[in-house]
Amino acid sequence: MNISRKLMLIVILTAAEVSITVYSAFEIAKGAKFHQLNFLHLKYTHQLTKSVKKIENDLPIDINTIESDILLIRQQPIECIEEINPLNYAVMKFINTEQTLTICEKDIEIADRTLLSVTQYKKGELSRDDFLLNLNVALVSFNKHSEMFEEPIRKTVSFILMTLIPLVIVISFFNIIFISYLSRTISSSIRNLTLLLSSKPESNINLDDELDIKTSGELKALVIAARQRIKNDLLNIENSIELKEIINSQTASLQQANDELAQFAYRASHDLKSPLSGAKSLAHFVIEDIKAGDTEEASRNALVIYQQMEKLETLVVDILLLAKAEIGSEDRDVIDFNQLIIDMKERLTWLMKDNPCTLETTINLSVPIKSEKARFAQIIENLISNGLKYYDRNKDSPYVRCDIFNEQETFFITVTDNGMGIPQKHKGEVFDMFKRFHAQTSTGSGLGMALVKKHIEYLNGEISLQSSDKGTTFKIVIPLDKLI
Amino acid sequence: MTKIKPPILIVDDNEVDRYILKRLIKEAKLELTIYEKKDGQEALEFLENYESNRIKYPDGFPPILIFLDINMPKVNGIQFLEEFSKLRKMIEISSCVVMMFSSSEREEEKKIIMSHDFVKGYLVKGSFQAAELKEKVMAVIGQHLDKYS
Repeated sequence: MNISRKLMLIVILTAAEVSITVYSAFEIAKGAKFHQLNFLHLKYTHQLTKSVKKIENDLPIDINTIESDILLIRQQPIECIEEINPLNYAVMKFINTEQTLTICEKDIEIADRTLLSVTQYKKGELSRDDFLLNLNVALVSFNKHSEMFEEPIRKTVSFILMTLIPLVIVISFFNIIFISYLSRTISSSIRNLTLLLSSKPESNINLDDELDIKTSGELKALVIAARQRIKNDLLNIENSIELKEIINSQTASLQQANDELAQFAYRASHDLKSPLSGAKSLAHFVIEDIKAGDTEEASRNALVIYQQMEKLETLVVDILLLAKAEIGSEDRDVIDFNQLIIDMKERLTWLMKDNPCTLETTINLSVPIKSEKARFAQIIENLISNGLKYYDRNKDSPYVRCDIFNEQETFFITVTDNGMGIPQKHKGEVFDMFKRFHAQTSTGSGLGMALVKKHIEYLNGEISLQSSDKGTTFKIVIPLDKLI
Repeated sequence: MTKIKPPILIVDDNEVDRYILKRLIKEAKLELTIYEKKDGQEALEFLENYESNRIKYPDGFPPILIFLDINMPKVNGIQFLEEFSKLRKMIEISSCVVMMFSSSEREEEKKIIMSHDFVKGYLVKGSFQAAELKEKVMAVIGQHLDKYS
């Protein structure tokens, strides 16, 4: 039974208790009134007796006094009948005291009859002796009725007292017990719940089940609502923490991107400006030399200007490639690596012409590779051209070797050389933009390896390098699922 | 008596820039002995071999002025200045001063560079002509030129 029902029961019981108490008080008061009426009945009968006594002593008949006395006597049984309600009647019938009503009715009847005698005597239809006789008979009846009336009234009142008071006591007792029981169960279930909720977190593995078993009714509803609310709040907190983390990491990566961009802008503008300002000065010299007639020096410088412009062009092309590397293209196709190598060799003719390096390439693929050809062409060309550029003049048979193959779910490109190697302290900077480590042999933009890295990142791959004075190996690993 | 040409050192990885500077020096009619190094490391080695270079170039070592680029491989201009300031305390090159020769005009770099008291000027590549160069060089090493002549 839930708490509100229990409380409702207490209210009903209390109401019953109060109404029964009030009812008994009224009934007892009614009993007192009946006694009072009987006392008045006796009093007026006594008055009438005194008047009759006077007549018997031959005193003149005071007919008005007698009539008013009888009317007064008649009044009590009428009031008595009026007082008895159906419930009283039922009770009286139950305890066999309903003769009270009969007594009253008879009393009224006798009073009515006596009043008739008074009228007959007034009219002279009745003799003085007969009238006196009638009065005496009536007096006897009145007295007898008063006597008879007392017993059933006392019986009725005592019955009411004997039944209702124990009933009130029983109900009160039950009420007290029930209220204490109820307060005990309510406070104990609250205490249990508090205990359960304040138990150590590691012991509440089955808190949900425990709550389900140990609580009921409104408390259960309260716990369920509270739990839902806390769950929602926690979810909100978790969400906001997650959101904050996302913002933080995004801010950090934005900051990094911003720093990279600033660095890039600085280096790019520097590397763009350098050949430009060089060419500008040289052009000025060319003009002066031509004026002075030194055409030899002029043409030499014109050639340098041409070379500067070529360098500038390479740089601009590389910057554009780097910018493109970040953007995906729909241009995916199965790559013919054999053709890719042939094309690349053609492009690197200038580098291979006077180069003592041997270039060996192997292709060993069990599945067709589908991707953007341009990315792979740039990756392979940059790695191979670096190997060719930085060969070691002190080694007998310099070589660059490129292996393209796959193993199960992974695609590999390795480029190995026995060149001069990358100094240990610069290894961390290999993939940075605008880095060149070999001053004498540097010809490129310094963007090649950064471009390689960008392509590999785009393809979800990884690039690692091993380098010593014996040579350098770059190893590229790309998951095949990106390439099918 | 043959006139002794004061020695200077150009440290720059870019051959074109070195040529331009040499050509401007020539146009300015500054009679100088010019040494060239391709990066900070080569320049430091050149200065560190003080004794042997003094014997090798009896009238032309150490240089009295260094034109120094900033963006160079191995040891860049800023790193060179650090090492050079240590070197000045050890060997007799305290009369040697530095003039920056770079296309970079980065303020934060400039601040670090100019904090060395032996850095006497900052030339931005491509922004000056022979006359201007002469003026600047004379302001810095004029007294040496007098001494040498």
